[in-house]
Amino acid sequence: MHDPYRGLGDFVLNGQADGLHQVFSGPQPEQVAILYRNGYLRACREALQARFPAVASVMGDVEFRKVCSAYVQASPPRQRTLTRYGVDFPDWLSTEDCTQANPGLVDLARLDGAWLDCLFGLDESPLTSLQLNQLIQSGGGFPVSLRLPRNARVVALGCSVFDVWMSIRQGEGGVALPTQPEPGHALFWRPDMTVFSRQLDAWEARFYLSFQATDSLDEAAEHFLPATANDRDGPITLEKYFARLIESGLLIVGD
Amino acid sequence: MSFPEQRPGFHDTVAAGVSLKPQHFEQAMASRLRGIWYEVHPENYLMQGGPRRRGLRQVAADRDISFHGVGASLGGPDLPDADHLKAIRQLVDDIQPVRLSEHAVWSSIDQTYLAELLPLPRTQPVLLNLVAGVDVYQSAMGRTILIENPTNYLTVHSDMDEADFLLEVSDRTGCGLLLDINNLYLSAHNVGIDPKAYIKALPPKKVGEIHIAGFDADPQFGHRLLIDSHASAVADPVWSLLDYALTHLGPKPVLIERDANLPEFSVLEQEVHRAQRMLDRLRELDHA
Repeated sequence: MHDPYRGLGDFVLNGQADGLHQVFSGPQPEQVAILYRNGYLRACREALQARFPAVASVMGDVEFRKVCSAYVQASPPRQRTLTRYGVDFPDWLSTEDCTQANPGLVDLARLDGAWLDCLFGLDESPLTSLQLNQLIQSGGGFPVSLRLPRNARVVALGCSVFDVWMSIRQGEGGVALPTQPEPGHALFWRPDMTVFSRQLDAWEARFYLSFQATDSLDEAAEHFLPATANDRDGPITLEKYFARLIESGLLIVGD
Repeated sequence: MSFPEQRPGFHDTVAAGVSLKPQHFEQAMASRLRGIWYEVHPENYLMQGGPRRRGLRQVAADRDISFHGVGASLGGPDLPDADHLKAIRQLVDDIQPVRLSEHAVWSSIDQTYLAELLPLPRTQPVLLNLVAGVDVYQSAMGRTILIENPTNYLTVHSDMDEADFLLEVSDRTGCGLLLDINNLYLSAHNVGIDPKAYIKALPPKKVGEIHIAGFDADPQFGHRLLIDSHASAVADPVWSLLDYALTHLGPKPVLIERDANLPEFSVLEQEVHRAQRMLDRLRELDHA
């Protein structure tokens, strides 16, 4: 008994037309069935373009289409929605020839992906200084358990592309990607409906990675080590830094 | 198996609606068209949070929303994916749509999602797969769904005609039918079925919703092959076929589907208004 699905499935996935006659009558069904294959490839490409707009912008249409086709072949969608398609695209991209001379593309992809994951992440109400004061004054004391928002993302970068990424996302053209390795980190978080992002110093990266992994501000604080003893408001103390975390909407009262 | 009917909406009259996209959330909430309702593909809202999900929740607070799934692969070789159904159910519980619908197609094989509405051979083994898929979907949602007739671009090897095939699934599962007039018009044009005979074969009580949409000629084959693009205004022959369908079926919720090449919301409202006038006229004739 022939498989009523395999012929069309093989054609959509791989362009193999041999089995189409098992599904469709009439001569040369592949001439029309190409609609389905093109639709599949287009849907995947549009999902990748929506997730990685900076990468698409830097690569240009022709190169991005080529890369998307290769990625779709290597890693077809597994979930029955494309809103998260391409989660492993940055890792895959890092193995491709096109990024050997341009490793910053991989970092752009990581930043694009983190931005979208943060946008689509969990909605949470961050602790405000007013709430903190009320808690303390009502005798509730200092919240014992504080953590980062679940929508926060700490992204490790191989090249210093954060500023370039910001420029691209703001619609500026003609930006050049750095080609020399310069490791760093960026942080994404969403206190309300707008995603915020910034670069992190080395100690801050350790601070946030620890905070995210342990949900413990005490453990994260062990990494508190500002490289500059002073900023415009005087020395950066742990207390001041804590106030900035609240101001930025980066603290959630844990369960 | 028996499931509750679709949930009651804000309005008790049958009305026309339109596909809703995030860029139209504000206008959708502000629309003054009587009874206007909105339909979304739930797959586009399966994120944990963020502005898109919040926007839909806000619209749903005072407008009827219906869900029109595209990813379940109801008639596919495998049963609908359990994780997918769980995610859709969570969204259903959150948004409380008035109706749920899916497509009588397949879109997944070997755990790979093909992101296309692929036609089903209308044979007994495939009928059993579709029945099983609808049963699983309805169980997961805890209510009945509507299944939509596909657009045909090629003639699929089959043992029964499409209307009989879908009605058989409806009889076995308790699901209703979503009659997509544009799909029917294009199928008639592309593979030569009789659209009016198709409509006449459908018992009115089985049809829970009607879709109309725009189509485009295929770039390669021109007008010999019409594509269900949802990227242009509803064409006159589709409006005419809608008129015929409403006369036969009676008033049904009518949706203007638009997924690409989005115009201003007011342009879509004009199409909704036209569909609403047809529904109103039908009611007037009924009362006369």
